[in-house]
Amino acid sequence: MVDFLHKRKRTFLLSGMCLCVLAMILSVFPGIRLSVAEQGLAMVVVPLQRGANTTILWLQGRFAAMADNASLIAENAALREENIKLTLKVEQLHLAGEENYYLTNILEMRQRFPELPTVGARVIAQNQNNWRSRFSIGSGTREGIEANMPVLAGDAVKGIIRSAWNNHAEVITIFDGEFSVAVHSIRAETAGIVRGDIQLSREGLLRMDLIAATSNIMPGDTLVTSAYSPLFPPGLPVGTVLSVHPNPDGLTQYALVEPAAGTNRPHMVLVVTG
Amino acid sequence: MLRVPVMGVLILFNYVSQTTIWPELAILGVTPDTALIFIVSYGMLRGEIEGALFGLAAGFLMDIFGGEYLGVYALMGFLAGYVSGKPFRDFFKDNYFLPFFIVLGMALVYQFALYVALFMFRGHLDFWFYVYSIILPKTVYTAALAIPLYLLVHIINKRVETFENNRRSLFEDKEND
Repeated sequence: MVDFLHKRKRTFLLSGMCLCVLAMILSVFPGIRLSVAEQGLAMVVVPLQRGANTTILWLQGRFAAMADNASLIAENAALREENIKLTLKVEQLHLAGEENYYLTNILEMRQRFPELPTVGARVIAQNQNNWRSRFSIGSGTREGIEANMPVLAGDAVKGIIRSAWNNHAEVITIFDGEFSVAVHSIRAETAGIVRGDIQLSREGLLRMDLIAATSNIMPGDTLVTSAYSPLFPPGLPVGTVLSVHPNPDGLTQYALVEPAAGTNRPHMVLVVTG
Repeated sequence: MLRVPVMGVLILFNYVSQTTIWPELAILGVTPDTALIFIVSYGMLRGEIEGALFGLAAGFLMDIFGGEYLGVYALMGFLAGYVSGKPFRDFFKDNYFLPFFIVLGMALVYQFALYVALFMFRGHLDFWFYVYSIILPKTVYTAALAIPLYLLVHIINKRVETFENNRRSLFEDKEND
């Protein structure tokens, strides 16, 4: 096979490039997807990602426990034996405790929005490159998750589902350049669009656009999702205005916004399924 | 035919590690592009055809699970594999510095191409921001891992070649008998 291709290098090169370009053209049309290939690969890749993620969490817990152990020995040699026993117990309980912490978070989040139908999901993988801000969760269409469903972390908007498969889904975070949500300032009664921006994401900030020049929006104002948003239920916290700046056109202003969901990578998220 | 499953496992291993392990080891917020190292290494060791096929498969996997459009990573992986295999087919394979420089150059071109394909055409024209915050750190981090990962691919390739040669000679012996 390879020898055959070696004799037809030019044809091979052209065919490969044409195949990729054809795939690009086809993927522009919505609805055309490699569903079978995606589902098949996901059955292999997602369990591996889940396993790797669990191993990483275990290792992180182990290193943290080791560091605690070392400092306790230095502080009090008399308690060494007891300390080792406790450390072993801590190691054993660490993963269970961590899981419990995240599940409690999920429960608290659900209690904050009792009227919203939600599904808790674990973050299993990060985006493969640094050009986008995305992550994968270990729940998918099996749990009722579909594309364009809002994703919450803590009690605030964290992102939106980009695509969902049987056993996992991809989330676009609020910092991603493709993310945008219609928001509303409760105090100033001002509407606008909050967008992700790769440059601002380095400082942990978002950008709010399309603020009327006459608006009296000011730093400290809380922004929540607007009733005009087609994807997000109204009233979900998005962020707090940090500073307001006029646009050169003089007709609108823009604001820098601190996200309410924080900048840290979450371990668990809540997907609003209804 | 051992080579095909080995290639598949290598591609899967790379993708899983790139989405789980490497984000935990990010430096200045960037992760290394280990897929490119595997593609370049494989291309250099096995020639342009196999390098291109490896790049195509690795790229399609990335496209399927999170690419913007199907085929962008596949095309770049295909070309990276082909280009790195073309002139370096007969180089001394235990020379580890050549892969380092090839990965360094290729990572720079690859990241720049990604910027052009995904950002520049969408009006993100603050070129130097992207150079300093993503392209350069990512290139350096990727190049720093080029030698150990090339070594890994080299060892795997050697084992597979030994296995294939033994198998071939076994069949030739039987034919001669």
